Amino acid sequence: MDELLQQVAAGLATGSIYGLLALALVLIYRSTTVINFAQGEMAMFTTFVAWTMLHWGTYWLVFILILLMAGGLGALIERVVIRPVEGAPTLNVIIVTLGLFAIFSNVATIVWGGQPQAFSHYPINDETVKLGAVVLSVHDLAIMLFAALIMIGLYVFFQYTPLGLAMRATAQNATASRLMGIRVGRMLTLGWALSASVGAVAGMFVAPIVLLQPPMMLAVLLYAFAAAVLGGLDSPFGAVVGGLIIGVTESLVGTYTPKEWLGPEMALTVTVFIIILVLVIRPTGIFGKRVLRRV
Amino acid sequence: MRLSSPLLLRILGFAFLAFFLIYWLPFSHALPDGLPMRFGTYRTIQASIACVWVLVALGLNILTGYNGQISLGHTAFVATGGYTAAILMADHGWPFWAVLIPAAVVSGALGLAVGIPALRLSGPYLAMATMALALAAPQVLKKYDGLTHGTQGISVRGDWSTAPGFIGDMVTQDQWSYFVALFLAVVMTLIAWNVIRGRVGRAFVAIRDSEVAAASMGINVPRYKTIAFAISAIFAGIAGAAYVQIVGYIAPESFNVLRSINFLTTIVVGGLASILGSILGAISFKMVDDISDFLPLGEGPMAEQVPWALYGGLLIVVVTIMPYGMAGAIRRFQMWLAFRKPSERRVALGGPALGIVAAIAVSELAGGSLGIIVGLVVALAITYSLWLPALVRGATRGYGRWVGALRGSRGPPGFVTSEDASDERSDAER
Repeated sequence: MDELLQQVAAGLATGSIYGLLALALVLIYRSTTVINFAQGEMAMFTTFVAWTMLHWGTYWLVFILILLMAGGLGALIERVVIRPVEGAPTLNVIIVTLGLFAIFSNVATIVWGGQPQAFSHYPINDETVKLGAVVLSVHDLAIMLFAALIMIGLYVFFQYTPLGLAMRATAQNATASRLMGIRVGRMLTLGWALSASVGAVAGMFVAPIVLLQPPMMLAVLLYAFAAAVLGGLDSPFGAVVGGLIIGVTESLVGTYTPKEWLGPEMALTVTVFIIILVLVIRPTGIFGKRVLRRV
Repeated sequence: MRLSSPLLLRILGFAFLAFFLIYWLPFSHALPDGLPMRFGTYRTIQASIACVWVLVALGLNILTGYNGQISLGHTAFVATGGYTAAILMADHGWPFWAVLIPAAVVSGALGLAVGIPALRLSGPYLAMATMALALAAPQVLKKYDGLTHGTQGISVRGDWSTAPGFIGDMVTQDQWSYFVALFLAVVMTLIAWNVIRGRVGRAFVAIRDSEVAAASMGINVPRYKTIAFAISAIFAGIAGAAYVQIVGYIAPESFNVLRSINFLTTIVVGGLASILGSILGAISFKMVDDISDFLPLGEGPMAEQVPWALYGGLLIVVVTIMPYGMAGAIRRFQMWLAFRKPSERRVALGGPALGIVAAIAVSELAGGSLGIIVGLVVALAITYSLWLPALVRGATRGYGRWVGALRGSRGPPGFVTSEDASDERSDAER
């Protein structure tokens, strides 16, 4: 029982990271129906910038600066690269994000080298905390705390501020929103900025676990994509829940399935097949709206 | 018969293509060895692998371009075909020609099995489900190593990849592999062409454009969507077998998720719902692999990273100015050409063609890279002298209009991807 709880807690911690990046994906998907495949690499890039800045600044100052810079980067990308393909088929926009993926991952390797770097100067120490029978590192707790804070913050922003309302309206029906006087273009830019910031937080929390290196976000991105799809691509809440479900499932499958023919190496495989099963039963994810089409 | 007669032009074109594919690519040693891109063996292998990617792209384009179902899992099908071929050849001593059918059948069966749950999914949800397949494939291949030899992979190179009889004295093993791959690519292109032009292909397109409309016309939608998956997987399975025959080795990491994503990129850049597009996309993708041989970057990380960073930038530019891929751009060029004066038309077509022929001829005679460079310069000079006024006119109108002018406001007639239905969705929500 104790081991079960321990595994669930560990799964929740990794799941929070998947959930954060999934949230970033959903923020863009909701308004543009585009999966941003560059999301993880953008986060990796900003984390490398943070790593460089940490040589002269304190952690929390850098953290705030990086969030702002990531927002700027997201907005810039939307304006310069995404805007020209706005009317094109969705697949084309996805290919553009794949192009961004290639640029970020390779430029990062050229600038910072391919060697893994310890994410040093990191203030959240490796001490562990005992909660009942469960032992968690402070880092894991911080991840969960930040994921919860970001969720609540975004919820308040979307539900209770005029700007959040405008963004939701844009996501639901861009034409009608434009007729109501909402600057749709700006809302899209803002969506990219928000999403890049949320992704940057995920990057900052992944780096201490897996060492800072150019390919570090690839696996996280794939899990986040799975999480967003599992939760339903138009539901931010679903994205986080999807992330948690995937984290816990992976952790449990790795521990409790027979080692001879499944076990930890097959955790990913079993997890993705569970996702497919869920999708076959609910084709638009757990919290996703069913899309109706008029013919 | 006048020189500009369409039939004669077509015959000349095919003759040139055949000369290029059958003689120049595998046999010519026109460039000296000192150049980075060595001709001969190395180039022959690159060309063979390009043929394999053509096979995959054709299959994926039938599924995604013509039938509107996205797949990010095609490496799983390629790996299935490759492993079937490798196991039969290495462990059971089958000849290569005999393993093609089993590779296609096993891979097609997997495609059928995936196609059935895929019926309920679309768009990004289908992309995720198929990507799961590509994610799982290497792990499954590593874990159940009784059959697959685990992480170390399977080596198959042996007698069966050398040519039979007197042909074996004339060509090397790599050249024979190339001819086998080229033969498969040509045959499968013809098959793809027939599938697309026939009843099945029309059903695919009808389903892509509107499932409800297709169903009300009497098309069995689930059946054809599953068939599309199976056909696509068969192409990928044959590609896998061809890959094993060329490289002589297959391992779980030969095909990872990124490669799967690249396959999708290939057909979008080449042109969705276009056979020519599949071929062009696959070849251009293979060429990026080899760019590092051209650029003076030396060895090490720079040589590996810079081409792919450039590739990313190129991808964005190409997709922005050519929304319907290279095939779409060629169609636009043909339309543009149709409204030119005959004299202009001759220059626009004859310039590049003459240049390329001159380049090959001079390099073949002189045995140097100079000929190629001279030929390309001539071709560019002739071509641009015609295009320059249009380019200048475009550039002075500002960036946005220039992009707009290049890509036009409309795509090829009747082409709607399933994602384009977002307008319909907002209609339904109202």
